[in-house]
Parts: sequence; structure tokens; C-alpha cells
Amino acid sequence: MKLPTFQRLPNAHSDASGPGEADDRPVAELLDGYARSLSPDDEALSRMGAAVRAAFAESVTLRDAGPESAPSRPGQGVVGWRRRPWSRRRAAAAICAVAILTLSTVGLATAESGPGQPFYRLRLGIEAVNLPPAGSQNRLVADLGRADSRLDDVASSAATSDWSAAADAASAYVEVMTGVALPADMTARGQTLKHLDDQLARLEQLRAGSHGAETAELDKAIAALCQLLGIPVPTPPASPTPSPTAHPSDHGRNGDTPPPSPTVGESDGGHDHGRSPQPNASRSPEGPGDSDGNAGTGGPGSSGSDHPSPTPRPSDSHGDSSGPTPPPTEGH
Amino acid sequence: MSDVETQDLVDTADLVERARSGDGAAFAALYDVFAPRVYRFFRFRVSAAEAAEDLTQRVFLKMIEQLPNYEQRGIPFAAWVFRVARNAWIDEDRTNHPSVSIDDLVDSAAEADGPDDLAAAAIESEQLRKAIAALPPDQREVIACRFFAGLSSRETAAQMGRSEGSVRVIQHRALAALRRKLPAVDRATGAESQVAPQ
Repeated sequence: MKLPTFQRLPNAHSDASGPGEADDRPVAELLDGYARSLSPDDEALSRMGAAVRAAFAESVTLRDAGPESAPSRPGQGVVGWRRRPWSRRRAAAAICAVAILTLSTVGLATAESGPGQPFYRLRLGIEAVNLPPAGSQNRLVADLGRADSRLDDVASSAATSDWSAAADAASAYVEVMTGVALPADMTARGQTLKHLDDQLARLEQLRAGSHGAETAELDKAIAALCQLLGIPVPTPPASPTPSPTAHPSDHGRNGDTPPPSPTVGESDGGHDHGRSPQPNASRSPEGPGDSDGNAGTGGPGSSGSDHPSPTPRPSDSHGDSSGPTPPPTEGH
Repeated sequence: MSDVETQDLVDTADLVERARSGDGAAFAALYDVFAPRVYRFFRFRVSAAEAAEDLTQRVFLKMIEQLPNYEQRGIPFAAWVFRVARNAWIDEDRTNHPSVSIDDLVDSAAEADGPDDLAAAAIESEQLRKAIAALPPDQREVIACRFFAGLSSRETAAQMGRSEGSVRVIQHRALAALRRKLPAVDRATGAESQVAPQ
């Protein structure tokens, strides 16, 4: 077959070297000729050149006019190169600024939010994310601390008569307490029970002073705590307004003010967990001694059980002279 | 080949700098140098001349966009141009698979003298095109850069991200493979080899 009469292109294989150069030359010349045959004609070059030069002139014009006059999208012109990077940078900066602003606002709002506010639950959720592993001693301590904080929230809300906020905080307290379990270790268990007793006392105080929507939530909180303590859940009074007989300062404190309702439940030295302001007096893991002047009446008889009995115990009534129908004074 | 195109050793750095500053004459000079080479780079890959023209224009429009970002960092400008061309071809190849028409092959061999030469050239071009198409991608790329784009070994190496020696080896293997695939060339080479010792 006759080879085509192609001409060589300069620079095509002029720097070819190596042992096979002589053998490569015919193929290289063929390729050169073939490439030459594919060169554009003058008409095509002029046609393409006119379009390209016009595009270049347009780009220079728009570039000199400033970035605002340049097309903002690649399809709108050939000189988007100056506009687009600037737009991208500006858009990225704007997105970052908005994101930072949003996150900062939400973060601040979350950190500052109290019960009843939109980000209160979010704040509690974030708080819960950082808790130690469930079942650990650290987790128990953390949960008790969170529960204390919720009670603080309830108290502060109630102090400002923000009942819905107090209810929200009480509800949050219940949620915290549902995850709390008593430890197996006796020492830790005793400390935990004492802590829970304190919380129960606070709850009862708050419940006694409640006037609004938080009452039901406080009742739930008390019920949850009693369930955790293993004591019967007290029946809440019918009226949300506490009766004078249920007020902590009215009975069961000094033994010198007889309660108007001389029932057993309310005359046992203020140990009715329904509304007693001094639950510690009824049960102390450490043993003898309470704040009712019952010192020396403890021991196995008064603290042998971790949880107070709903019925009056001899030790509970011991030394309590406020009741008109005092129980038998065994051993005295 | 135009006189401008043969000025391959022209210092394009000066032209590039002037074109970047908006000098239309400098850009026109760059176009004159590179347009035929870019066109051939595409023309041997596509069947229609219009497609090669379209791709060539696309490369120059892309150049206009990216020229302000071009920086001389040891990469020859020609290698940069053909990187743009290569990317344009990759984009085109993803969306379009051109076919070869015999009419186009005949047109491409129109420089042959008579009817016999025309037919022979068309057949040879067809064989050559098929032989190139059958090469491995790196060998095909070297052939495209060296013979159709007119790049030097150094520029081809820069465009492909390889060493100059590696480009030479690939080129030698590609030419040897083409020689084996083209019987007429192989016979001619064999005859030369037999005559040479005498």
C-alpha cells in the first residue's frame, strides 16, 4: 500500500531518541502527515478567531467596568471568572456568618433559658449529653445534682409566681428522677437516701406553698420520689391551697402546738410524708437522732428500716406530745 | 502550517503577561500560535470538523476565563493550554461519543493528488485512526500531544504530569505498536532495514 504524501510537522518527533528511532521514523512521519492533514483551513481559523477575539474583548470591557457588571453565572458570559470567585467568597462568608450568628444566638438563648422558655428543654438535653455512663456512681451524683437544680428552678419560678415555669421544672425533675436508681453499696445508699430525703422535704415545702399549675407536677415529683424511696405515695389534699394544718411550721415541730386534726397520720411528729416539712425526722439512714427532739430514741427501733412506714411507728411518736391521742409509750 | 504557528520557540510568557493585562493583540498572537494545534488535538478524535471547531473555541473561552489565574510555576504555558484542552475533551467524551464517518475521512485526506491517492489516503487515515484508538490511554495521549498538538517532550511531560523520560519511553512504545498495527509501514520499515546494511 502506498503511504500518503503527508508532510512533517515541526517539533513532532524531532527530539525522539533511543535505540528504535530509525524504526520509529516511518510511523512518526506518517503521524506527522496525518496531523498536517487535520489542520484547520484558514476559513475555520478566521471563524473561530473572530468569536474568540470578540469574547476576549468583551471580557476586558467587563473587567474594566468592575465586578458588578460582570455576569454572575457562567452561562451568561465568558468573563465570569472575575465575578464568580468574588461571589463565591462572599456567599461562603455570608453563610458562615449566618451560621455562626445562628449558633451563637441559639447557644446564648439555650444557656440563659429557664423553665417555661423555648430552649429550656434543649438546655436540659445538652446537659444530659455530657452525663457520665448510666449506672456509675458519678452518674448518680450528677443526676442528684441535676435534680437539685430542677428543684431550684421550681423554687425560683414559684417565688416569681410563674406557675407554668414551675410546673415545667417539676416535670423536668420527674424526668431526671426516673433515671435514678439506688446504689447497692450500703454507704453510698445511705448517703443517697439522705439526699433524697432532703429533696423530698424541699418538694413537700414547695408543694405546700404551691398555688397553681405546678401542683400536679409537684405531686408527680413527690410520687416519683416516694416510689424511688419505696414508701407509699401520699394522697395529695383536695385543695391546691395548703391548709394551715399542713403548713410546716404548724405542727410536728416543737410538740407544743397541737394540730387541729388529731389524726394519727398528722400527729406522728410531722412524719406524714404527704406534707411533712421534716421528712428527715421520720427516717435517717445514719440511725438515731432527728430534729424533733427525739434524740436518743433511734437505734434499731427508729432507723432499722430505710423507709418510713405509713403507719406511725413507736419511734416516730416517741417524745411527741402534740397529739391528743398519743400512741403507747413502750419502754418509757 | 502558518508562519505564526512555526514560531514555536516564541517566548509566550511575554504574550501571556500582556494578554492578562487585556492586550488584545497579544491574545490574538496566542490564538494564532495555539489554535491550529488545539484544533488538531481534537480533530483526530472527533469525526466532524464542526465538533473540533466547537471544542477549540471552548478551550479558548476557558482560557479567557482562567488566564488571570494562570501563574508561571515551572509549567510551560503550552502544557497549561493542553490541560485545559484535555479537560474539555474529557467533559465532551463523557456526554458524547462521536462516530467516524467515511465521508469525513475522505475529506480529511483531500490534500492527496489524484483519485487513487485520495482513496489510499482515506484508507490509510482510517487504519491510522483505528490503530491510534486501539492504543492504551497513556500512549494515545502522548501521540496526541506530540504529533497532533505539537508539544515537546517537556511540555507533554508537564501536561501529563510525568517525567520527560517516561514520555519518551511511552512514545517509543506507541510508535512500535502502531508500526505493528500498520502492515504497510511495517513492510516499509523492514525493507529499509534490509537495505540499510548494504
